[in-house]
Amino acid sequence: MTRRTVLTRRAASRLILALPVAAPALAQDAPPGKKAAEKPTPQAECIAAQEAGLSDAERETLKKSITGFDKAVQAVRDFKVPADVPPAVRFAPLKPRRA
Amino acid sequence: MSVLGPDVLYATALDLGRKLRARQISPVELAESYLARIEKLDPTLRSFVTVDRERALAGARRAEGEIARGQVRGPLHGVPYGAKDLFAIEGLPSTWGAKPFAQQRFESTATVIERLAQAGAVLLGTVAMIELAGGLGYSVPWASFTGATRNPWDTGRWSCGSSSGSGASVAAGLVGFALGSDTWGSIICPASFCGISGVRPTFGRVSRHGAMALSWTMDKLGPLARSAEDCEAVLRVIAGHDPRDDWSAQEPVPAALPAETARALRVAAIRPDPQAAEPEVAGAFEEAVKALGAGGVTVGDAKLPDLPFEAVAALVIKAEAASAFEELFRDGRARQLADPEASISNAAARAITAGEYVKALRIRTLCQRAMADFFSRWDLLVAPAEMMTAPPADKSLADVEWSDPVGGMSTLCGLPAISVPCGFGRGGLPVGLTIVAGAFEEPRMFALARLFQAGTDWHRRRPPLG
Repeated sequence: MTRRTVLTRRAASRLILALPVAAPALAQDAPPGKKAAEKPTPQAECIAAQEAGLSDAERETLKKSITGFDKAVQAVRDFKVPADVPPAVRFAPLKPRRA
Repeated sequence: MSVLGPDVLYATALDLGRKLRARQISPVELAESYLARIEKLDPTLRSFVTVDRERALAGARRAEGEIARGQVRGPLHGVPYGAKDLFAIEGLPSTWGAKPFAQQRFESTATVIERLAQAGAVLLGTVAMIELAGGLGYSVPWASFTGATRNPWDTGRWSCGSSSGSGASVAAGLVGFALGSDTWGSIICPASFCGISGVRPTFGRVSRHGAMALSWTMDKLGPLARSAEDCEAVLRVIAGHDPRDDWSAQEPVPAALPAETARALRVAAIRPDPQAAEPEVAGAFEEAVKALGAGGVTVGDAKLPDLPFEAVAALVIKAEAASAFEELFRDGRARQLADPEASISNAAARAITAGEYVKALRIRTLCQRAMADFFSRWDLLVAPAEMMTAPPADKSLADVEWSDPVGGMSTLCGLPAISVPCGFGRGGLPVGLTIVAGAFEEPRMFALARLFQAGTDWHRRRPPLG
């Protein structure tokens, strides 16, 4: 199991309320003197480059959002799940609806 | 006809019901009085979207006739209420708080609204919400096509979201109770910030038929009211299996437990991270734990299992919301949303792969197992409902530190929770205590909440509105 960090917990909870503010949250958690914008993750660069119809400012905001998101859900990505654990949803075949 | 004053309008829904059945007040008089108060106060609060005066008075007249004939439908008969603006209600707009849906109407009616009608409750109208219940994320309190809903305790502050109008209208004495929805904190937070009681039931306990879907595996509907007892009464009306909701649980709705039974329960306190909680919130929580002790409840210390509850909840909601609102982005209507950054939200959701979504759901299984184990050792847990008091209504939320480990855990695992007022923090703003129970164990949660409210008077305090 991967231990959570306070940074991940805080940033993750922000995602629901405000995905765009995740990046500032992460910046606040950075050591003093290192509050400059974080380097976008490769995924953030890639998605922002592919997205059509965005202004430059929106593209930058998108990069920050995805970078924040990537960091916040790192706990999910790092987590080792035993192979026999199914998803928490159930598929139920529907019987024929005969009269 | 006389207009009833705040002493009556601030009564609990159950007290109002008793007065109505005893014919001390009439349903029409009560509905008229709430409508007059809405007209007076709501231009400032902005808690209502649509006030349906005609429907309200027709419902009140019907209740008046039935009560006069002795045909009492139950404890909420004739009690006026407001419904979050995400329910299908025949004849009323259902805007989902979002400009692209401002004219949306449905020809059918949501199960919860039907059940309240059968119980004789009187619908006054629809109340405000954050657009799309915050499913796309939001960065400002005014991320709603009706603007920021103001907090009755300080109209410069926000009532929280996404059930913003539900919280504010109850706290301001504009309704007897309200309905809200909660995917992650959308009932608990407004209840906490507005100094009222609010319940997020167990997942599946209340039918979502006719309610806006944001996250199929996380959405829940529940009441906000002026006491825990009121919330329990409303929940009893709206709960129970509904074949029209595929996710509706078959569990029977159990009988209420006497408050005194809470003294025999094992209650775990999850103390807040001092770095995350405002000192006044942490202080109010400690006082609440002492009050429970004074009421004969033994509270022990516990910690949550070390699992990534919040990260999993965030990922699941983000992925499901991206699917729920896909069309809005495909056809460009997302640009009409009020949040300045909403239009990029769906692009950001592309950072989630299908494999990650499934993995999150598998971790969720482990989270559920861990919490089922936790609730075999403990009957209930208590914690601060929010780590802070209401932020300003006119400032971005970018600087707001938002930590919600207990809320993230409980909503992810589909567990029931209530927030009850437990004091005041910075600026005289309300603080909430949350009580979380095991799945389908709402009666224990209500027993402790009622015991707490029997020994405290926080839930009887009124905001300075007159």
